[in-house]
Amino acid sequence: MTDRWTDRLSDYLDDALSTSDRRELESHIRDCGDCAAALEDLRAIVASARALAARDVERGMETDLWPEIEARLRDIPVRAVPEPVREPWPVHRLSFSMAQLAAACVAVLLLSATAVWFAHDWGRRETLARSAAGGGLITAVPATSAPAEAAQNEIASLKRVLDERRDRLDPSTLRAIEESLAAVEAAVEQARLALEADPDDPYLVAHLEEMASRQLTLLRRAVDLAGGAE
Amino acid sequence: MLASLAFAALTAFTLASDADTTIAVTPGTTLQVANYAGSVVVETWKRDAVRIEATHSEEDKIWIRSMDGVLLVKTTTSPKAQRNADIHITAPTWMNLEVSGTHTDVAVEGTRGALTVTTVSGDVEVAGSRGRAVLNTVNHDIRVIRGSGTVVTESVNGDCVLRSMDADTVDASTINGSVVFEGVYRPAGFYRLASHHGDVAVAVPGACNGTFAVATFSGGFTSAFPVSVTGANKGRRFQFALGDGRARIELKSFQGTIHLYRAGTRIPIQLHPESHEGLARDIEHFDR
Repeated sequence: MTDRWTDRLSDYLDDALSTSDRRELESHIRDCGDCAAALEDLRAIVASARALAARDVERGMETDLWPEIEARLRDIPVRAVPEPVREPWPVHRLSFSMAQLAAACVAVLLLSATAVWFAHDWGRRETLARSAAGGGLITAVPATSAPAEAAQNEIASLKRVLDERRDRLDPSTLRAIEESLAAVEAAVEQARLALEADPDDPYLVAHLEEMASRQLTLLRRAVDLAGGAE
Repeated sequence: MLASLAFAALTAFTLASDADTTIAVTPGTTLQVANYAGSVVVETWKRDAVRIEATHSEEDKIWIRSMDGVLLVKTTTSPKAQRNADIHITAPTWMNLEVSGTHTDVAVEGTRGALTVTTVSGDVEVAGSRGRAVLNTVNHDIRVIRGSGTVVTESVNGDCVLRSMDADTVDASTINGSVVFEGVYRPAGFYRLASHHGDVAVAVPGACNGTFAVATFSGGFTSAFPVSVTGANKGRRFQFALGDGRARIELKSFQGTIHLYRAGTRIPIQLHPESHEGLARDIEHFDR
């Protein structure tokens, strides 16, 4: 079940709400069991993401460029602009929603499915999954039922099928597909490493989700081109 | 050859090379075009009929089939034969279009129905779409001119260039290419422009009412005019509003630079050469 606060829970955890909104949301949570539960789930997701094993971050990613961006912003002459009329964002916006964070977490699980994950006892944790209805509804599903594992299996399966059917594709198509898959996989890996370095950044969470989704979509398409699933 | 056929009586037939066929269709019919390699060009007219002009090898066939409210135009060829077929279609403006290919360039002009384009190694060019347009290529560029309604573009290695837009909703994303957006930001409109490696360049008209949300991981941000940050979140994210801030504009680049430039001035980023050439060609072609 969702209400007008559901999509703002991540902002709340991110300390991105105004003082009045924060007070109002805290008051709402006391009376709304769904939101309170969703908030707890979100807290668990964030905590789990923090528990990711540290990995060497690619050179260049270690450098925090935000101060430089901030400095550039300061260098831009500032003029006063009217306070914007705050209207609810369209329901289809793609960042900061609970469902997307949850789906991104699934992607993190998928892409980081190593012994490290299991050492942190992910098997007993509940995670959130985006509903088929388009992200508006939240459904708690046990990680052991593993949408992450299913997705991981699908990627492995698609790669296996694609490898078996390489000769069904003409060389130029195969080259195009392989180059693109390499590009997407590199983007997934970069997003994953970035998220490990900064697990609280909602942009990185959403970006990893998007890149992982693109990888799966491209693999499915490649298999279709090679003759479809059997 | 020019033949007129009643759609209702049509089941399936093939076109000879250099064929020119016109088929009557009833409102609500969807046109599906599948061409493995070559080009598909779709223009529109007010007649309730579909004209199909095809140029292809004698060894290949173009099937035309109707079933369940769908008119299918499909090229059958051996993928390893590396032969192209060029299909030029004139369709009713109301018609929903689904175009797919692999090594296929696709150009569509003036459709008011839903439009879906999927190709791998081919450019996608759309002018004047008014319905929901979902455009996808893997290795080449997507260019949209004068799109309205909803426009979704997705590439992996190509650019997404959208100009003279008047759309309510835009979602343009690529991984290795750049994204350019020029046009109107409609009240309560939503615009998401994103790249992983590439730059994102957005033109801002003089009278702009939008809230811009900028996010990057290791990229930069430039602006040709003053902005006043109203919300700097943790990490490398911030917001600012222009005018009444009603439209929502999300600008994201993982590693590239996000540019704001004044509408009517030069695009501040380097696009793939083909994007420039193609765009110029499109404007000349579509604005005739």
